[in-house]
Amino acid sequence: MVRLEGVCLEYPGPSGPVRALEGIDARVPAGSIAAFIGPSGCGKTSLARIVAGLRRPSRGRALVAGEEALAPRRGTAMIFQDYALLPWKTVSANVELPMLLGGAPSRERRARSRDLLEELGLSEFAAFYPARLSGGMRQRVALARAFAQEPDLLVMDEPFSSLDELTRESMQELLLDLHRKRGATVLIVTHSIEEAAYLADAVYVMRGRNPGRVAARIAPRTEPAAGGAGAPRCAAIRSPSYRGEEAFFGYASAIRRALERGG
Amino acid sequence: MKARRGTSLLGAARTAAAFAALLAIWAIAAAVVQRPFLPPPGAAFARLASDAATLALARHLAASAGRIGLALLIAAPTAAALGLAAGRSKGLDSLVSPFVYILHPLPKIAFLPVIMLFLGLDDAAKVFLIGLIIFGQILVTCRDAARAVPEALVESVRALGATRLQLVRHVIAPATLPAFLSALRVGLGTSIAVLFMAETFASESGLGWYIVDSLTRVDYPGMYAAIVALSGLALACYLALDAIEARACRWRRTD
Repeated sequence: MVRLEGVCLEYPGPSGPVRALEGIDARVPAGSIAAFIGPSGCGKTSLARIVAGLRRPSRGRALVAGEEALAPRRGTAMIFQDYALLPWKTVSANVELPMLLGGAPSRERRARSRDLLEELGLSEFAAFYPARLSGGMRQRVALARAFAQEPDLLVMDEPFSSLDELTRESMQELLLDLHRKRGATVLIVTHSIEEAAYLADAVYVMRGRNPGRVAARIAPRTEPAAGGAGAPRCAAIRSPSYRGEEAFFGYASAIRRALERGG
Repeated sequence: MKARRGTSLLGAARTAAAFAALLAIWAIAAAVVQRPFLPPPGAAFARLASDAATLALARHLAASAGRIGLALLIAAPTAAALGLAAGRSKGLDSLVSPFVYILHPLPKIAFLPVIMLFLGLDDAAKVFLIGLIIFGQILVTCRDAARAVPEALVESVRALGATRLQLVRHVIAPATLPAFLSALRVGLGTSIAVLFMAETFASESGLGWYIVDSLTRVDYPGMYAAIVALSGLALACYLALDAIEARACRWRRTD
């Protein structure tokens, strides 16, 4: 679904060009969840923006569904750390926005946003403005808005890092639930080891700063016997109880070791 | 809902009380001074009522309101559009901002004689002058507000595949609307003051002319009636803007 081939990013700085990313290679198969983890300043947000088509790489290519991501694409939805809901639109109007921009008729927009809000437990807040919602609720609305787009790729830039621990975990469950039901590919950028270990089928550990590079790719050791090939195998092992299992801790400490080596 | 109506009722009551207090101060001052050039408020309002009945003042009120309205209609949309464009485009901004920087602090009223030489003594010169003031105010405020729109919001809507026009419609314009309205408020205040000056200058209509004309005819109640009418015009503009803001910027309310 997503292929990064030698992606480099440079931007002009006060003293000559700054290299933010260098030679990033990655393959995210359709229907899987990939995480990019790294310290602040390693360029992971820039990477997310490149995949979402908000920024072009200086060299190399970012391919989404076989095509170069040179501009925002209908099928790609992006979730931001600070929710990025429009404060002057109500919850339902925010959810309807992608459909409105895409020219969907108002009846369809309303029906779909009503369904999504119900699915995410937001029905009674449909007429609220975002300012009156908690952080967790806002990110729920942002998820509803993302899925209103019916995306095949969801790019998430530190989506849950402003939330408290419990809210973050319940949002992760919600994301997995939506992922199972709707089956979009997910590319998530995070600095949380647990988040990466819990959500991702493959974790790209980044290191360095100006430029940031991929230091390692870590995938959990999953037994083929656990249920056939492809993404569902991993989705199957992820339930809240997985957070307490040996395999989860093993995965998390492998990521931690790679981060420590790299950083 | 109920609480909101309650607070707005309370607000209205407070405004009414302030109005009554101002009238009382006026009445006391008139009683203390005891001079013809400060008639009690009763006399001024009685004159206002009888003028209203004979439409003597209405023509001038309409002339003043028309000048402001026309200037507003021409200047506000163009200034807002240019301001938004300059705020979002570095190229345009580097072209516009130096001019704004030099021209904005200049006292526009000083150019009235020049404007009149070019546009004549009629309404055109007055409308142009008022328009100029409103234009500058709104241009500067909208430019700054458009610059300050959080980049994350622009990005998030751009990520949805929005066109430039859709970005303006859904992000830039609503984000700058509160600033636009407060610029309008400031601009209107200044332009009513300037209107008064402009109307006292080679003019035969408008409340400004009426005030000065009453002064020269030693018709003090008439003068005060016109001052009250001009103040009423300003107040009406404020109330209208308040109502627009309450409707259009509901999202800013946190109660």
